[in-house]
Amino acid sequence: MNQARVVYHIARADFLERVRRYSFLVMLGLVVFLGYQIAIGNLELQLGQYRGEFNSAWVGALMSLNATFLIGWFGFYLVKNSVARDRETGVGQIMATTPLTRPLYMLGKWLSNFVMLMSMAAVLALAGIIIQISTGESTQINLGAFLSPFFYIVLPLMALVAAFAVLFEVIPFLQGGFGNIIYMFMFLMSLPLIMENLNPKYAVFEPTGIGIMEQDMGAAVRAVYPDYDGGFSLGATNIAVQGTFNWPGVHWTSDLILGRFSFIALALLLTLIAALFFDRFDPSRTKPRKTKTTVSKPDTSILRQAQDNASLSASVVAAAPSPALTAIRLTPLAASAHQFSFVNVLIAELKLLLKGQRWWWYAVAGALIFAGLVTPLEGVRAFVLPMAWIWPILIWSRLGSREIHNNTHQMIFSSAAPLWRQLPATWLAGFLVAALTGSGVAIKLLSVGDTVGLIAWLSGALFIPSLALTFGVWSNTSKVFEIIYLCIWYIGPMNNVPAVDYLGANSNGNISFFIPVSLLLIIAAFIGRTRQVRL
Amino acid sequence: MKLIVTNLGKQYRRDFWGLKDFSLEIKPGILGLLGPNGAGKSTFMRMLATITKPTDGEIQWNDIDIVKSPDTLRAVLGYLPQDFGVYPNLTAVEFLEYMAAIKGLSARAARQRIDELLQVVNLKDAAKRPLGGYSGGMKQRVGIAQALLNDPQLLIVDEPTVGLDPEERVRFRNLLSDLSGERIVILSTHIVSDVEATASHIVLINKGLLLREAAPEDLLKQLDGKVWEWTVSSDDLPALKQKHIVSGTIRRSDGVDVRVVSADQPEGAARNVNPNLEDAYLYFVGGHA
Repeated sequence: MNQARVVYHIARADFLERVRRYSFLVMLGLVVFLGYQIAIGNLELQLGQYRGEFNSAWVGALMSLNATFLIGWFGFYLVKNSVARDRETGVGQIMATTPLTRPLYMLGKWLSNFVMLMSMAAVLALAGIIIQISTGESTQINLGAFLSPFFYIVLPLMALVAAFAVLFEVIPFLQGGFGNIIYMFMFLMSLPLIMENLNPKYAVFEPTGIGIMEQDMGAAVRAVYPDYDGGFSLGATNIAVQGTFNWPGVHWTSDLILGRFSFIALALLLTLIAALFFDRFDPSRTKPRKTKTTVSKPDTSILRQAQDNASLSASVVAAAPSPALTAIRLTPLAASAHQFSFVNVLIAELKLLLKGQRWWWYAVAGALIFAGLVTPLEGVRAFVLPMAWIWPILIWSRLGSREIHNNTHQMIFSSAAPLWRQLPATWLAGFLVAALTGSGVAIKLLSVGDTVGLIAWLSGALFIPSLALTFGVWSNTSKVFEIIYLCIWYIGPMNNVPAVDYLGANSNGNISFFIPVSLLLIIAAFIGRTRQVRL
Repeated sequence: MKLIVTNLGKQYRRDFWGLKDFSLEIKPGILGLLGPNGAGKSTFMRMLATITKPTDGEIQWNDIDIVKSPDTLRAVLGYLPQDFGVYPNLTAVEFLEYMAAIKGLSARAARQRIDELLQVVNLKDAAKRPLGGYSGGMKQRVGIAQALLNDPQLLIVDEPTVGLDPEERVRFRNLLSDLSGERIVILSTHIVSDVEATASHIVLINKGLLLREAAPEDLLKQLDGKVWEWTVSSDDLPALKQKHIVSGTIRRSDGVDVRVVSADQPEGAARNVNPNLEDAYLYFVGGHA
């Protein structure tokens, strides 16, 4: 009982801290926007050219599947900061000195994540009721049919996502941007496999629950429209609806319920596994990186010289005069020392971006440059360039947010002309990283005279640092860029959607959109930084 | 060289001013800012450092309004914030090179200056280690070094000795004294002895208001005849603390030696002693002036 109380209070404090932050309002706003998109028909659920009547079961399924897909994906990023916050605020070290056990702490954080995710799903559920009433196809609200997909589909998945968020937070190499990328691939790459290869027998073991819905809805539509070819789409679709059918909802058998709730057990298991990795805020358990340490003999010449000019306070003389306590006179700087050089700032910014990367990062970047030079043209644009421009994502994502994240902003923003000296150099350093990692491809395009490809390359190289800098400056976190850039990269270059193909992987690069957008983003970054410099 | 602050104010909420009607003329030397937590010291310093825009009032640096043209001051400013971070993957040298480039120092001048500063802050041996592995005191010394990079005419240091060991504290105080000749140094701290050892002028702040502005000796003069010492029994101490400002106690075998700040003689046995800055701080900030 006492342990349950501990878990409850950890979750409660974490939840309250989260909902009282401005970012929670933004998050709720996004969920409401999502609900609105579903309401106006931009995000639809269709089986081929058919859809269900807007009764409670269908609307419940529509909202649940959208919640599954979107909160299951983005929700992970929104809640994956619970342990990190305790680490950053220092509250973690205080907790570590209490008898609190690792599993209880992890369970508390899991519960908080879970409640956060479910609160977002609850907003979508409310929106669903409004949608059903406003469409008017079926005005009778059947709460059981409406809520059962939330209960059996969304709830177990959210439990699982909450557990993954906790697990990723305590495994060192998954804590940062790399973990965000891994999760995206885990989530997105599994969906097509589920949809195409899932044996109906095993649908119950598929975490998103889409398989169960697809089978049940498929059977209902087939009974009315025998020509139904098995298509299932969730999201934006341009297939015109040919007819509707009545779907009363999934008949939830005990096997199905047990299958779904086994994900909650899995979530709890993952949370307990996370407890094994949790370092209990002990900084000494963070493996230090090997660094070359040089211990030189202290240079005492300046000290000796300075002793001549020393002026010790009476109390210090009385205590114990030692050379180490001697005041040292700094040589005044000559007026000629003050010579601003943009190149110096640019070099410093580049060093700052690239410092800390391991040898294998450079090895892969080098391999991608080489691959750009030797791969045939089609492969260069469709594969090598997207890879070359996803590889430095964690470098770009620090643009604009680094100053606040590392708490150096007060020193940097109080330096001379931070807006015109540092910010352009930051952007240019990001551009140079893009140019460098994509240089193999650029040389290839130049050598074969692919001007269109080269212009698309340039457009992409302009767009990436502009997007990173703007999101960094306005959000003060690297996460927003990481998530949005990954989405754009996944949808555009990887899934052949020309409108979003910012680097010309399979199209001309939509430069008439991306070049002006890049300029607008740079302007937005300047506006954002102006606001930061003078609060 | 002068810094004039006129009716400066910063409003955080509709009903809360972090600083209000603050006027001051600051000349070369060390100005010590003293005040309790939340008094408005850091707000004042952030406004001087062009980080925060005032809600009211003016700040003039050599007759130029720095609220309108902050870059005029930034070019000659050195600022050590109370709470700051560093880039953990950079070494001290690399971090200072980065800051020097941003501050507009030529590469050659930066190299010499950084070398000298690392000696001054006693980090020469650790200069090539990543900052992520530094202790709190070492990071604080990197902060001090970056503030001095451009040989600033106005040096603002907010709680600079936090995290420093006693030896480094004395070293830094001596450095400040040495630097103060031809520039304005504004030092904010809770450690009264730091101000006592260095400041040529003291400003007492509380609840966003300027309480007193004076040279340390003038401040102490105002307390002449108001500081008392005598011995009381341990049992009487709580009642005494309720009644008077007790600025010090020392336990003895026959009771407790107490030091009290009071305009009138608190007890017949109390004898008058010389005031120190801590007495003055407690007297004025405690609202007994």
